[in-house]
Amino acid sequence: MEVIIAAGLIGFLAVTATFFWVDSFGLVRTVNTDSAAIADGRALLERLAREIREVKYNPASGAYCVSTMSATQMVFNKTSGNLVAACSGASPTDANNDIAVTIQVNSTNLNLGYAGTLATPAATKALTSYVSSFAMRYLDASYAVTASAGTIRFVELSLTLQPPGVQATQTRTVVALRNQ
Amino acid sequence: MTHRINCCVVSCLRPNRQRGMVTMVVMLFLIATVVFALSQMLNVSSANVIDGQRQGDSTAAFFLAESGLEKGHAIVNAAFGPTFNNASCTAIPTAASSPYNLGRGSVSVSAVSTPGTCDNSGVTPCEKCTVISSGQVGVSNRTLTQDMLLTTANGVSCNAAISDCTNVSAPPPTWKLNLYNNYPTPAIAVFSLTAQRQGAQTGASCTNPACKLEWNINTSNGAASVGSMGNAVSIASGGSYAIYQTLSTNYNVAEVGALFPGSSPGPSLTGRYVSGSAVPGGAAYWNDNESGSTGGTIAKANSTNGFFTNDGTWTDPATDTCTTAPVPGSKQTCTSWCYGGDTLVFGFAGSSLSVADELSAVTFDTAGQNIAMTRIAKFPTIGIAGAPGNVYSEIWYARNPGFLSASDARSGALVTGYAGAVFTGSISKNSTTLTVTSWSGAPLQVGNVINGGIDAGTKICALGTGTGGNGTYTVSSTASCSPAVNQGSNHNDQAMSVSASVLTVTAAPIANLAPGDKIFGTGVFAGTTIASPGTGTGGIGTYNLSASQAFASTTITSDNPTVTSASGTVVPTANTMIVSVKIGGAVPAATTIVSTPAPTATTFKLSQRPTTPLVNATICGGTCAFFQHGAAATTSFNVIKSANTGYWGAGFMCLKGVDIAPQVVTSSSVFSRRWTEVIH
Repeated sequence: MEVIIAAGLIGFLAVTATFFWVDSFGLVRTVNTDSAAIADGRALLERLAREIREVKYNPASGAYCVSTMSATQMVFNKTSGNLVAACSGASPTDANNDIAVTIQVNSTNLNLGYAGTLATPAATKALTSYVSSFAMRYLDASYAVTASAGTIRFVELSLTLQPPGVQATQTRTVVALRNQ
Repeated sequence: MTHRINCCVVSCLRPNRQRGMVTMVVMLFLIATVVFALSQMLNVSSANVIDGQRQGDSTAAFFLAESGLEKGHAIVNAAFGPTFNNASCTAIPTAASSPYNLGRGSVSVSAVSTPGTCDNSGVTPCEKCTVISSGQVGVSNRTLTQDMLLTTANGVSCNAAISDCTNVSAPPPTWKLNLYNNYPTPAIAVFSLTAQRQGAQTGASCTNPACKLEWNINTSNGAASVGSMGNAVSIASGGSYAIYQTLSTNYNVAEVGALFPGSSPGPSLTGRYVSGSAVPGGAAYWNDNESGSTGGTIAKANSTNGFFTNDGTWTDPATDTCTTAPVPGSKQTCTSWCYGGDTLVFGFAGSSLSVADELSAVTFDTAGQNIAMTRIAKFPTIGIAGAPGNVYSEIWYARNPGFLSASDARSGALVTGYAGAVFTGSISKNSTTLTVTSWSGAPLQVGNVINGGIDAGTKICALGTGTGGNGTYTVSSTASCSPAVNQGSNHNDQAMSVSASVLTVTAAPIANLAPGDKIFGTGVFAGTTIASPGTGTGGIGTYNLSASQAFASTTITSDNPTVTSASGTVVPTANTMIVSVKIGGAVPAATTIVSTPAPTATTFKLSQRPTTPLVNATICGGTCAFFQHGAAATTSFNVIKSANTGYWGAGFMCLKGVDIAPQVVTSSSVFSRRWTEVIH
């Protein structure tokens, strides 16, 4: 009788533990995936922030070297070398020591590209393929939206990532342009 | 029995141990399961915690690094100026006490100068100082670099299309000039502000406590008119000052500055007095709305007579009761605004079509001294990034050491002398006897030819009772004395003379006769000069004259450029331009005091002979020498500007105590450019 009871208990515990174990693995995987998604989003924004902070300022025109500033695409210059007071646009030569940086969302891809003779490598690569939504806003000194490269002082980045089978996670940051 | 009992004990105990094993197994299983689950949870949790912690540390490290940059920037700002060098840059870590702890981490700062060896006071100025700042929190490290461009400029501009030029945000203002007095003496900084305006929109104002207003005018109310403001600020040796003005409307601005240093106690402002106290900012000023489309020499209100001012040095401000403030657009009514000055400053504000537009000449006192003023600064100039091209500002100046003599200044000699003989005599008809009753000058001698209404060519043949003075002499009306020929008519008490080309000086209170000097005195022929010295060396003695003549002993002056003032005031500075004011003679334009012989308080030499000898004159140097003198006198000036300079306004002011060459203001500005983050 005791053996039967013991076997029953062990069986019950085994079944329960198995479910518990399996669920734990699932929970761990889910949490890890969510954490990874959040970390990925944070890392992506950090990477973009590091680029955007370096947007070149043209003291001659009193404006930042931003040639495209839309919600889904931003093209700007940053300086690789001594400052030359001119903006080079999207395809710089080495005359102005500029590199063109493009941030663009394309479907579920968030691309970061470098262009110009000084860009090494001059290529565009996807930072992630799990973009659910991505938007940029351009803000002036009083945090009002602006469309002028002369008054822009901040860029707000909003990124939502949703890897397969994972909840969507949204991260947002505001980047202050450092050069002026 | 005992065996049975033992068997019973053994058989009875076995099931109990078996039940314990089952429990043990179950418990172990449960423990293993729980431990596994907990370990997995802990693993996930710790990974998240560590990730979050590192993210936080990284962010903290980033801002620590940012604070290091800010500290470096502040150190560069504090050190930046005319004496900034590469060591000033590389010393930033020391100045910042790097590395230092801050918050949860530490900051390490380093700096590199470009060029590696540079000196703003030398031939290789510093271009930039690159500050590298690393923030460390835990294991997270962020390193940032920032190029701080080091620029010095003599002016500042603001483009209203880019920035708000009203400076309404002040402090901090949108634009300003950071001044630094690198002289070992105090200095006065003068600023000329040009502000574009349109319509009736006005106004600049300088509200800084130390900012003294000198002039503030607007040209007109039309399009592209300009406002002109002049300000002056005293700056101690080694001191600095940040100046800015505020505008009522956002328009383009250009401002330029110049430093005027002086030895201790330093320079000061001239200006009108009110109730015995100086009123800084009493400069005279003018304005104009001439379009100036053709450039060239222009004049107020399109006239061709040039601009003019009153005699700003006419009235001693200590006794001036003038209480009238200058009226924009007209000349200063007070005549003391430049009294005692040694430096005349002209600030110009012009509208233009490009930064290439400028003045090419400013001439003061065009009817007299023709003082060619010197431009010391213009802003903006070609190459100034972002500068508006429709306004510009300039500062011109003319400097002349101050000097004011006592009212007893005389030029040349003051001697008593005569030439030949002058006498009164009588000769009867058909007689050869001349009777001299009144004589002066040189002794009469045998052979002297006598002039004065008697027979032409009459000469003395022999002495009678006269031995050179009064008495009788035998004369002949012809050149022959053998025998002496009688006079043809009676000559009673006739004024007669014997000419000579020798000047005999018998007294010399001021012994300054010299060859070439033109002499003046009663009976002296106009234009008579000292041809050569005789026995005299400037004073008592004889001198050969350029023309033979006769004049009785008289007071003689000369146009010798040596000036004597018995009272003396101060030792004038060599090369000081002077004029004679208030009685007694005149000197040509551009007359200066020469350096050899060395001037003294009582005597000095001029570069040119006076046009009329100075007699009890008052001589002045400084800005006084730049003006036409007299209470009602006017002094004109002209400016020559580029063709595309349109509306303009300007103002004059005077300084005194400026005995060191002025220089352009050095406005030191640090611009942060090329901020980068080093990726580890």
